[in-house]
Order: sequence, then C-alpha cells, then structure tokens
Amino acid sequence: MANIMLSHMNHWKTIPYKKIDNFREYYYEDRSNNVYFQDWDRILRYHKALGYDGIELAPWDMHEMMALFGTPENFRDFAADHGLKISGMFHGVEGAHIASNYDAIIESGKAAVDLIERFGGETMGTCPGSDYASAPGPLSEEGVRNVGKVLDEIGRYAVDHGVRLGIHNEFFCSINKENHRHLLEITDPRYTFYYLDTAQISIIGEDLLKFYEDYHERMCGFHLKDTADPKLPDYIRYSPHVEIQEDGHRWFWEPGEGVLDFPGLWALMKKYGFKGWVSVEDDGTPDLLASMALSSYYVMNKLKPIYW
Amino acid sequence: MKHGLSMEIVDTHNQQPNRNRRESKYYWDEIYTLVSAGGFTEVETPYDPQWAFGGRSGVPLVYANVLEKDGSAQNYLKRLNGYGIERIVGVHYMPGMFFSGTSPHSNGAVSLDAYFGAMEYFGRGAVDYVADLSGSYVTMSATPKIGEIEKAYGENYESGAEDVLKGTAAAVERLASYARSKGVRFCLKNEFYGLLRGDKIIDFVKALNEKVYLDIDTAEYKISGCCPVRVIREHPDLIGVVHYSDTSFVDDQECYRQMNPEFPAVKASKVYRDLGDGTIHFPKVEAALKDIGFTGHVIVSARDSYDVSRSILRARYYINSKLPE
Repeated sequence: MANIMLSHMNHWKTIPYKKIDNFREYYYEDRSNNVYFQDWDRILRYHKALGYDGIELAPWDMHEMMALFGTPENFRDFAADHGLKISGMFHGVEGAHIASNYDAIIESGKAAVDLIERFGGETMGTCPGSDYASAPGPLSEEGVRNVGKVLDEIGRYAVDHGVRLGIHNEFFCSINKENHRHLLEITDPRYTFYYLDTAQISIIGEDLLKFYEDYHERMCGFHLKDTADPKLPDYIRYSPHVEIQEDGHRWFWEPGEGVLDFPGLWALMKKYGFKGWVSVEDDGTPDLLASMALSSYYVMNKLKPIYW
Repeated sequence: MKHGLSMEIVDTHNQQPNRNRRESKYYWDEIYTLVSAGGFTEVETPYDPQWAFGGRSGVPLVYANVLEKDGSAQNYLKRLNGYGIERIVGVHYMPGMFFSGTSPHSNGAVSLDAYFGAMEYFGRGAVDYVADLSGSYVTMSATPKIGEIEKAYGENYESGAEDVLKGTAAAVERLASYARSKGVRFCLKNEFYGLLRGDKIIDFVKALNEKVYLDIDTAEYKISGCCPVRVIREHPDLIGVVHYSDTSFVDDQECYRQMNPEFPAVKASKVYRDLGDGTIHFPKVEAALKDIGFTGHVIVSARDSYDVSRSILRARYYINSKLPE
C-alpha cells in the first residue's frame, strides 16, 4: 500500500456535460478540439490515464456539477467507475477575522464538510480568510484569533466526519507572513491541520523545506505546484487583485518548471513518513491536459523514486 | 445597415482550452484589436456581475472592474478608441446568478427578495455604465432559466414561476424608468430557456407600465419556435435591439428545461453557431428591419465561440458576401 495518493485539483471550470455519447458527430459540428474538454467522462479518463488516483473538487463548480449528477454520491460513483476517488474539496472562510461572521461561516463550513463526506473525500484545504487588501491586513491579534476559532470549530466537526481541515495559505491572504505561523500555534492540532501549497508558502517568503520541517506533524495534504517567484515583496503581495496579473504573468507552474526544491521536500516527507493525498494544482495553465501530463511525469519520474 | 459585434463571442463561463487567459486584462485588450481588424467598430459587451467577485478585475464586464483598471468609463472607452473601437453601444445584463445562488453549497432554496434586490442593484449599475459610455441600451435576460426555477420550486413550479414573473414585471418597470431617466433604452432578451421564451414576451412587455423594448435575438426566437422576422414585422414599435445569432439547433429533447440548456444533454450540440454556419436566413431578417425603418443597433452574436478569431472573420465574410449595403 502506497503512502502517497496522487490527486489533481480541479481547475477544469464549468464542465458542461456529464458524458458525450455522440462524440464523433459533435466533433464535426465545428471541427474544434473544444469538444475534448467538455464532459466529465473524458476528463476523468484523462486523470486515470495520467496516473492520478483521485480528483480534488472545487466548491465553485458544485452548482453545475449537481445539475449534471444530482447528488455527491452519484458523482462519487461515476468517478469510481473511472478508477478514481475524491480526495477532498477546497474551502474558504472569507471574513472569518470578523467575530460577527462566526455563525454564518461555521454553518457554511459544516455544510462543506457534509458535502466532502458524501463525496467520500478526506481533505478540506481551507483558505483562512479574506485577501490582504480587502480585509484589510495586517490583522489584529483579535482578528487572527477569530480566524483560529472558526477553523478549530469547523475542524472539530470535520474530524468527527472523517475529514481533515488544513490551513491553505494564499500569498495574497490577510493571514500572511507576519501571522500565519502564529495562527498555526494558536489553533488546536487535534482539529486544525495544515494543507501545504508549496508555491503559495514560498511566494509568501517561507523556506519550503524549513516550513515543512517545522510543522510536519500538522500536515494533512498538499497542493503541489511550482513557482518562479519565491519571496515576493510585500508591496506586490498585499496589493488588490494581485492573483490575476494584467499582463498574464503566472505565479504558478507545473512541478519542475519553476525553482522549488521538490526532491528536497520529498526527502523530508520520507524522513517523517507522510501518509495521505498529494494534489497537483495546475493553477493558471493555458492547457490543463498538457499540464496534468507534465506534472504527472515529474512526480512519477523524479519524486516517486525518492518516496511513495 | 451597420453591424456591431457582441463580446459574448468570448465564452467566459465554460471550460475550453486557454480559458485562463480570459481573466487577464491583456487578453481583452488584444481581443479588441482583433474585433477592430475584423471590421467592427461598435461592440456590445456582456454585463455579468459574477466578475465583480473573486478578484478577477481584469475582466471588463462589470462597471467595478472597469473603474478598477481605468478609473472611469470614459478612460476605458478612450483606450478602446485606440484599438479602433469607436463605441460600446450597449450591454447584455445577466442577473441569473442571483437566482441560482452564489453559495456553492446551495440546496436550491432561493430568495426572490435577494434575487430581485441584486437584480436591481446591478441593473442600475449597468444603466449607469451605459450612460457614462454614451451608449444606447441595456438588454437584460428577462427571467432565470426554467430549469433553475423547476429545481427551486419542484412541485410548486407553477406558482413559483408566477411569483418570478410578477416580481420581474415590477423590477423591470423600475429599471426601465431609471434607464429612461438616464437616456438609455431598456430591452429584454428572452432566451429559449426562459419563462418568456418566444411570443410570450410580447404580451409581457405590452402589459408593463413603462416602455420596455424587445431584443430580437434571432437564434433564441428560432429555437423557441417563433419566427423573428414575423415578430419584427408585427411589432415594429417594440424592437429595441437586434442580435444576429445563428443556430441549426432544433430542441426536440426539451432542452429548454435543463439547468444548463445551452448544452443539450441527450445529444450534444453547439447551440449557437457562427454567422452563416446555421440555418437562419439573415437577408430576410435584414430586409424586414429595413422595411420597418429600424434605426437601432444590429449586433452580430457568435456566442461562446470555440475560436474567437475565426468567428470574427467568419462573421465579416458572411456580412460582406450576404448582407451587402
């Protein structure tokens, strides 16, 4: 039994078909490759063909997915027919630093946990709140503690339902370089874990390997992606709407296409015996299928020999 | 007759290769040069509130994003002028997201108060935007999708649909009144999957206490089983804007009741085609418009193109060869 299961974070946004049965006829309508990327059936086949064990779902896709599948269980079974599991679903606690938002955020968080449980998922990588510019940052001590309180409460509910909530840093979030370690320290390690996005944490300014070394006991999963912009200056990270750049500059690349030391990380994962889901996140790519293949090749050929 | 182009040519909703580019400003800047090179100097843009959320301000399809990037509508227009685009003549406003709910964990419950409240809030923003651009019209998708309403109300669909129409009438009257005060024409688009599909829109707008115009979107009327040429000839005083959208789709699978009706579930098909690739006879549409003396805007719509450059040039070729002055 492998220690690591490989998933892929779903950035195939709004897939409009469940299964296209008249594929050849449909292709000839416009003779375009678009039809190769419009149904869940084929996209899940691509996952399996490229060596992924699972798929991580995105909450912003739920409305359209449920229109196609009806229930999470139906999608879970459909994925299982393709040899895939649901590793988990991403989540966010926007506005958690404001105490008066507590009830609504807890309700939304528990609903997300329920949904993940019905999908058969295990992880809930969770963005810990609003972006830096809109919160605005830096958060007060009270603001950080409000975030921690929300995470622990949802996290406790998640553990009770077989799901692990992990803090997922974003480089532009109000939980940032000056307070994200503090947030980890004040949250309950029984309920709040860490979901390591390798690129985000590096762009924030952390040393990826040192951060893993320091908090390896809290790790519950990964977003595996590379970057060419580690240690990005504060004035850029804290500016509004920074994630999508006007000129198309990409913060994120496929593992191996940036500058991060993934073999070093894998050696640490071996040292500490990580067990769980690693989810490749090909965020910002113009060609998801090519990126999935590139990422899988790197993982299978460069990282798997180190530890799996 | 002068033909503008709808920027709904860019699919901002569904998966397709290179989809990520549409979230960056550079992509839209370049698209406008392609539109201009294709011989279109007037455009209509979608007005889609979904882009007001999530930090995607590079997508210039809601006023807040234009202000974020350019400071004012006039500055934005000046930039487009530099690409050869003379005017944004109007917008297509889509409030449907407020009916289906923005919560990813929505169980289908819907609040009509929230829907109409958000519709009016962003609708006034759309009117302000068009007025500040010295544009001519706002055309609004008239109702949520029938499939969404069926999901929301289940066995109470009939009474739910009645409530939606009643609330829509009141909200449209207020928005049209506001638009009139700003010198903007308010129109309704009746998609083939909305409650006012086909002919149903006619009596609806006639019953309103405020002048509201029809958006004759040819593909939407055709799929609904309603001849757009007949509507143009029978109701010349109601025509506010015309969209030349092509289709060869025949809805023999009750696709109009799907939650995602633009993607027929039983048998996949590209519902909206590039100009000339469908079965609509546009010379007849154009003749009808000339006969009634229509002086409003005619907008070519290759909605959700698979290849924007190709669709622009296909449209230009069709206009040049089939719709000469």
